[in-house]
Amino acid sequence: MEPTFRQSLNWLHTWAGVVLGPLLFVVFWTGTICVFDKEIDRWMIPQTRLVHTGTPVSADALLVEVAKLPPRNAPWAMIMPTERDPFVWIAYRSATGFDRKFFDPSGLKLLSDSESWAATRFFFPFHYTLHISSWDIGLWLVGMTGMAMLALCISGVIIHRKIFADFFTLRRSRQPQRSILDIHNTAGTLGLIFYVVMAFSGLTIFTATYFPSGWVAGFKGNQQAYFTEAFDSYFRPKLNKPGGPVASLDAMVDKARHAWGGLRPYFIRIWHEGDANAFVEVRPSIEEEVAMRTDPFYFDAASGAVLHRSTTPAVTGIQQYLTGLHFVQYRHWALRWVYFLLGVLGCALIATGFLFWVEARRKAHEAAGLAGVPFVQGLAAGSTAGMVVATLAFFVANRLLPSGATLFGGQRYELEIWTFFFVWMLSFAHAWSRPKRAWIDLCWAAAVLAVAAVLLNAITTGDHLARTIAQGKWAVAGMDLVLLVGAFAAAVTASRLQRRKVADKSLNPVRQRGVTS
Amino acid sequence: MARETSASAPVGAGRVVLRLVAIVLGSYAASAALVAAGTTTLPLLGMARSDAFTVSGALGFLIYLILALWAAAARRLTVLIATLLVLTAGGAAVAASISLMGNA
Repeated sequence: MEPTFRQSLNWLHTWAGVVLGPLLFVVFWTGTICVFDKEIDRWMIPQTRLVHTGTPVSADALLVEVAKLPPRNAPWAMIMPTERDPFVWIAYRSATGFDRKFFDPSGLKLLSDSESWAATRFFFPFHYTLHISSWDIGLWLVGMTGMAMLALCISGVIIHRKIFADFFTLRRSRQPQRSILDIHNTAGTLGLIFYVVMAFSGLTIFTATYFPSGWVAGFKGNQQAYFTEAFDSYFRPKLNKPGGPVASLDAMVDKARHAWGGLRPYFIRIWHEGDANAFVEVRPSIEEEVAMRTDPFYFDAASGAVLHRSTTPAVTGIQQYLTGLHFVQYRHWALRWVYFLLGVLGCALIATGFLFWVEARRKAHEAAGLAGVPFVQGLAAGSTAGMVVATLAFFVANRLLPSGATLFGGQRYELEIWTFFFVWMLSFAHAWSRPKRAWIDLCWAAAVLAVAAVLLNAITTGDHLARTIAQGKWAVAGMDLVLLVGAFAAAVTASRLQRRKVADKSLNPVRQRGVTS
Repeated sequence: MARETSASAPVGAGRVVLRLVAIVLGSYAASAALVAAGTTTLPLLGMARSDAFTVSGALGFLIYLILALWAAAARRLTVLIATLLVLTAGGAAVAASISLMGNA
């Protein structure tokens, strides 16, 4: 494209970065949030703020409780409590898609339904589908973003000559362009391996979606045949004859646990309940090792006899290791924080890349009368800081909306989501209409909303920091603390930007005039 | 990002569009064809069919990455387009002939 290899990659880095920047930030930000998705769920769904005791729950006793509920469409699953999800729950398909019911593990009392999609149902699907499900458009856009991230990382290293020298360079310069580039380079080198591993492992999770050519050629167009073979999974169709009652689930669970060498069963799914061909699938905990192994056991529901024990092929094991690295479901709190911090660093990387594009072109675009800089400036502020503000508004809405609230036919959980998108659009509008104030105002908004979220949590649930720390509700306490740290960082950033704006005005009136045009 | 100036040089719009198509779609088509070729060829060497696709698919992303970077940098557009077309057609031909033989 350009005379030299390095210049060509610079061209690619520049334009892939600025065109896909908003998507990159969305994927990185939601991914960072999802590192603590279950903790955010605890905060947003207060009835699930239980303290995990570790006492095993009897699947048979739960089955009795579940039978008291209105019947569900088969299949449905029981998910056992963990430290991060300290309740037992059932998941099933319903008229509205996917539904779930929570039970308190001690006494198996039904907890009230969640009135929020919280992190696991809002931010988690956002991360890989953007909530655009038609024709998998969202999934493909995120895939393209993942490929772009890989290309940006590689091209970034190649065009960046003094990678080791700059690793230790952070100039506190008055010239924003210089310090923005320093932050961009430092964030890029510090987290490089993390970004590459996350982008690559994320892509491999959806290999079958992104490369249908493989199973079209190798499996005669039958995608399911690939999955069945790769995961050694078992299935038998319904017989459409009534079957006997379900045999002891606890006995099946015990059998599986012994075979797995003591690994705790985590997920129990009943297929075709009530049918003569009903069967039970038991999967092990995914908290014990990095690889997200499924390796289910299949039992005949009526007799409890083993139908099949899955053993995944070694190559699938490698794929599951990559998946596990990406999902970070294994139990390791220190690494979980490292993921979170590297995720935040990645967000800073993307935001500073945007800002560098703007600063590097500001004068030239002003001279030529181009609209590029004002447009990208607003796009950058709206898609990065605006996304953060919208996320915080989502949390605040969660604590402000009363139970059972409806508006314009939207249920409570939808109102939270509408708040998110409304605030997001609003921040784009603000960023484009008042470019000079955009970052300052969005930072102040973030600081205020984050503090408001902490206060509202204390007021509406009584779970203030002193109480959550004393009771060991670390998910809620951690969320509050991260919000407060974030509020502080946002306030410091806002006041610094404000001061610099004042300084710029007195030092460099010419440049300041240019910005407004 | 060592240089602080704009990277864009004056080039024809048509050539930029062709280049973009080569980077985004051409490299994808070539890598998808090679994934299909790998998925059908590796079982002939004794690998399980599902393993063949798992491995080829993962490598496919890396092939796509390398091709896309090269597509952005290649000097001559004609050589680039010809290479991508040959890889796509070659991969598809290998995959199609092996999977049709398997059906026969």
